[in-house]
Amino acid sequence: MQLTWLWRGLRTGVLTTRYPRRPERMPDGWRGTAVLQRDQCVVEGAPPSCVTVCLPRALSVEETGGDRRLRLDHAACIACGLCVAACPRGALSISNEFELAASSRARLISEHRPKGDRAA
Amino acid sequence: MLHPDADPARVRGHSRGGGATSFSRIEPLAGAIPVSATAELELEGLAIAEWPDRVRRQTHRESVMFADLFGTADPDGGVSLTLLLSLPDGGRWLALRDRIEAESTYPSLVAGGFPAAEWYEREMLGSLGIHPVGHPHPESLLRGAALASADMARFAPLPAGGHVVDFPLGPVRSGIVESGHYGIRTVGEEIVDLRLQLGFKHRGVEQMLAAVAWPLAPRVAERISGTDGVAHSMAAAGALERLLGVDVPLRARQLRSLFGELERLYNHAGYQADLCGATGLAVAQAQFDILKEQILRLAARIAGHRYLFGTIVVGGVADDLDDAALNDVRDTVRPVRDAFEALIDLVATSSSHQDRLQTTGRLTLEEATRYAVVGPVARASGLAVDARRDHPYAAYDALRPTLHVVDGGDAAARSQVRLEEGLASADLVLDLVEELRESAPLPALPSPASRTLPGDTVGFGWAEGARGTELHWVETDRAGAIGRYRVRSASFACWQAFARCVPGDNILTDFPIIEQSFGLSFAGSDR
Amino acid sequence: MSRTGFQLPLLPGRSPSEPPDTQDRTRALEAKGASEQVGARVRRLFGGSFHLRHVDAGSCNACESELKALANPYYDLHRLGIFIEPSPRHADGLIVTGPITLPMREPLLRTYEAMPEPRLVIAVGTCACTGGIFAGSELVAGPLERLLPVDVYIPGCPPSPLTLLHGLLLALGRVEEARR
Repeated sequence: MQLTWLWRGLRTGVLTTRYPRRPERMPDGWRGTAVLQRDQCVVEGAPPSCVTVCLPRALSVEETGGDRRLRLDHAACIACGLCVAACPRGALSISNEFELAASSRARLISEHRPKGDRAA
Repeated sequence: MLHPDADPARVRGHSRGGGATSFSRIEPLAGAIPVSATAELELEGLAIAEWPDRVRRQTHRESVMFADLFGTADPDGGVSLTLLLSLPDGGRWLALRDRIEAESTYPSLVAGGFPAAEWYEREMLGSLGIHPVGHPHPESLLRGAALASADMARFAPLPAGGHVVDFPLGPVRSGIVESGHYGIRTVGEEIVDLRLQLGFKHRGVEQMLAAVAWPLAPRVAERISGTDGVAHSMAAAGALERLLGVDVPLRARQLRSLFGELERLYNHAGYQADLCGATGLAVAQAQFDILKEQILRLAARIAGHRYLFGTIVVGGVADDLDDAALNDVRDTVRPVRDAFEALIDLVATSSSHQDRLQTTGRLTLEEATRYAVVGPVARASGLAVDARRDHPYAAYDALRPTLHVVDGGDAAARSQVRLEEGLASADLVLDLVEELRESAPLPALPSPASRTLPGDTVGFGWAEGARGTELHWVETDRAGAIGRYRVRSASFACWQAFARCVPGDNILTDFPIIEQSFGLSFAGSDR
Repeated sequence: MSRTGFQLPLLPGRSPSEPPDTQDRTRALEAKGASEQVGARVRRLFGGSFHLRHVDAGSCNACESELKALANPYYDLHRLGIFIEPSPRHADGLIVTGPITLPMREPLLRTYEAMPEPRLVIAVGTCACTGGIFAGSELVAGPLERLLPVDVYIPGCPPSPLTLLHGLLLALGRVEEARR
């Protein structure tokens, strides 16, 4: 009986990924994390519609003295894709990037200040 | 104690709608909340003391299964108790409701003929502070906040001179496992008592489900138990759809069934892998893990998420599958199905594996019925229950899945049921692919997000996940906000039977196998 | 407790009635700045082998499923010299899933304290990184960084096995960090 298993195991061959020696990729439609097209985003609405639909509050608006920034926290993003549908300008998309780990929280946060919006 | 408006003489007739998708509203009894899904559910105002008698009278010809018992804190300080029963013969649900004062007492239903209510009453004791009179063990169930060490005092004092050893196990246990605590008492090799401590993973999902905007409820629901994500989000969507009176198009229902069966399939494969791991059958573990991974990768390709999160939305599904995706499903699932079939024979003849499973952790039909267990655990003990057959939802009214019921009640029987169901799920997926090729394209979903929920109404949804029937119950307040969200997970329904079937004939080394053979989730029961 | 002879795995010399040593934990948090050096030391000390203890602090089970998937033939964690260790005493790193529910706070900290130094802490999944959808809930003591110095964040709900591999190798300094 054990030999049958052994035979079956051997016949399966090698399936193992060579990552990280060879690069890997996730399928195209796989939702990794939200990405912001900075040239499209104007941070409009109070709050913007993407912020309203974001369940884990990965998207937020930071306001300090007239300076308005959109903050995208990749560590909080669950890649549900609701913000993609909510953005009227198509500024958000979901990428299939999987190498998301970081050694500090700061590296997982991207902030966007729309052009023409000057700090006070 | 008696409900002021309760009138036992007014027995409402069964309203049988023209199928699962008709939602006619009928006049509610005074004092009862209207229920939108009247075709499936009736809600009656009756005093608790009269419930057992009322159920006996109405259901004398039918089998009746305890489904859920929960309390709702009313804004005015009272507590509404709801007993939910499944009447599989008629494909109906029956709900009974009564109001009592907060911090007061009520006659225990355990004494009144519903032994399965034992843990449900203990849970309410902890969360609402209402005391069941006549309950055999009236102590709070979810005391996770208290350290497990305090729980150990619940064992009887050590008998003098005996060779009794008590093992505390958990909440942090070896390997990659969920957090839960067991107190195991042994005499020699034999397990003589087991205490199970739930609640370590309680993160308040129900409160959260009541607080989020309702279109997001399926997104939260799938995170009740990640490996039952489709079942939970389907149950949540079903509850909200019945509340809103929304019809789900046929193609969306077929896609829901497809996703549900894919989830069942990868769970059954993963379950076998873990069980084979517990008995030391390493190659079999790897083989089943490969099948699970193949389905997870398929899910990532067709739905963008390995655990199919985000597929079910209120009113339908998030995305249609095109022909290329359907071909992908067929081309992936067919070899998985054949491999699964081949492995069934190999597992059945692996004596080292079967020796560990047979007679291990036996749950008799009597106990399974007594504790109203669900899912594969019930079916392995000879209890033929399956929400897909008893209360068809999604596309199951046309699919008619066959039930795999065996009598053994031991770990071998549970493994066998899961093996056969895995194969059946793969077959259902292949059938669904063919049906989806012919069904009308998915109409553009009307955006229900702008709608408000009707006030003072109940919506109720269910789905059969890999672990059993998940029940979601949504109640709105006068303004149409969700006032109470109740989740009865399949795991919760099975844990109390698990705690009962371990002591007795089993030895300590059987314990991991019994735990694995039940295949329950702490995340689902702790919520 | 003494009546039944039960004892939780405690540090030597600590009785369960004693309040948790918060000072120790604060000091550990302050040492966060030193974690870069710890990482370098870990690489030097552990070389190719890295043993991890896992604590589920209230996850939905999907993260556990993906961690288990790392052992399957597709990913085969062992080929990288990374192992899941039953005992915290033998572990070099702690992987934590879930938003840290209140009842799991103490078991988590005790597991951490039982680990020998140097030790790495890896937050697995959105819940452990930020609390995820449970962030701000009063039933949750997390996110993890509030309790322990986190060395690597692996986001995702759940993180795919490849994301996990990337994160674990990042902890060992064997892959590059993504730039964004």
